Amino acid sequence: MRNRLKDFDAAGAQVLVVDPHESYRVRHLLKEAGFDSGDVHVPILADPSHTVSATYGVAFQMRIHTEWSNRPASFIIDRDGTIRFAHPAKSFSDRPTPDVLLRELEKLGRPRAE
Amino acid sequence: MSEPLSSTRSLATVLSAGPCVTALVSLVALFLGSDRASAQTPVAASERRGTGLAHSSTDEIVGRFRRGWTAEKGHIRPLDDRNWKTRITALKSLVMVGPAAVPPLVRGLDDENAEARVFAAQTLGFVGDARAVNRLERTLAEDKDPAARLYAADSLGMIGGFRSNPLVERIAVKDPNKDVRAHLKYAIERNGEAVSKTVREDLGRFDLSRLATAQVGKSAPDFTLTDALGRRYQLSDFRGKKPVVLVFIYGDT
Repeated sequence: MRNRLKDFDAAGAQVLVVDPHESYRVRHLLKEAGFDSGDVHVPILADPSHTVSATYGVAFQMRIHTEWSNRPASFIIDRDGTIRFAHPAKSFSDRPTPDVLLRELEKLGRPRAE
Repeated sequence: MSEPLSSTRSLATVLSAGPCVTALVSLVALFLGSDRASAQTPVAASERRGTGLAHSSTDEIVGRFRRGWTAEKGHIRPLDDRNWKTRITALKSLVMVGPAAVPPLVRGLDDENAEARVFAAQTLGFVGDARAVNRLERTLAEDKDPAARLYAADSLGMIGGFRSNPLVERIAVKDPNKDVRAHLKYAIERNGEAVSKTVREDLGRFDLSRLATAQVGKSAPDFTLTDALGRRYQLSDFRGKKPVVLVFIYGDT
């Protein structure tokens, strides 16, 4: 997905990623994955209180690495703030591909004026 | 009413409240003497109440958790399994109870039910009280359930002031579970820094009526979160400008 960010930019969409760990853990994770926090062009937002994860219905649903984790999920929210697409994963490998998300974005249509 | 709300409903019954979650929240604050009481709650009256009631209420909340939460054997919970709400509801309620919840939760670390011990270990980090430290170290060293040890490591870090010592060093190398070893290293890396108190406040203030309200065709619930560089993002800032692709991940998954 990170290799396709340009395509999301081109589609005029903002990608936001949410991880339930504290920020220091998110930085740690990025470092382990070989990224500099300053180099990551998609915001990885920390939700350590789990309240956003709970609001979006994904908190504490999967057990992995010995802890209770978020269910992976993707949402598309249109310019009016309405949720137009939701994909709660059935497993950790069950995610919509960037192409699927881009097609969903296309369905929303282009902005009225740009 | 369906399964998901049964925990809050029974808790409400105990507190002589109706099933309305909002009413429950202010009633919990009132009855449990929470310092997170909402502005319209008579805080002074709640502060005069003894901690005995808070203890029994904590036991009741933990009891609801024990009855409401069933762990799945596999790693993946079915999509229609809603009892995750039991965990977040109990966690939030105990954070609202605050320091008075600590002694009963510490007792919970001795529970014969492993899931209850895991939950107590996890919750103590969010309540954040140094009185739990010694007993959490024992859980970290001795509990036979790896998840209890893992959450004990997390919570020791979150409470603050956690420093490595020979016992901790040994566990960080020798614990048979690699996730416990990793989490203990994360806790050591905090250098004694406690979890931000806004985490506790956000959880304590969380309006349970917002649980799982993100639905297709409905307005996206707004939020403000911070990225790894400390920049704040508010979902509604994009309204009228751009569509948003919101992706929930979990660590390296």
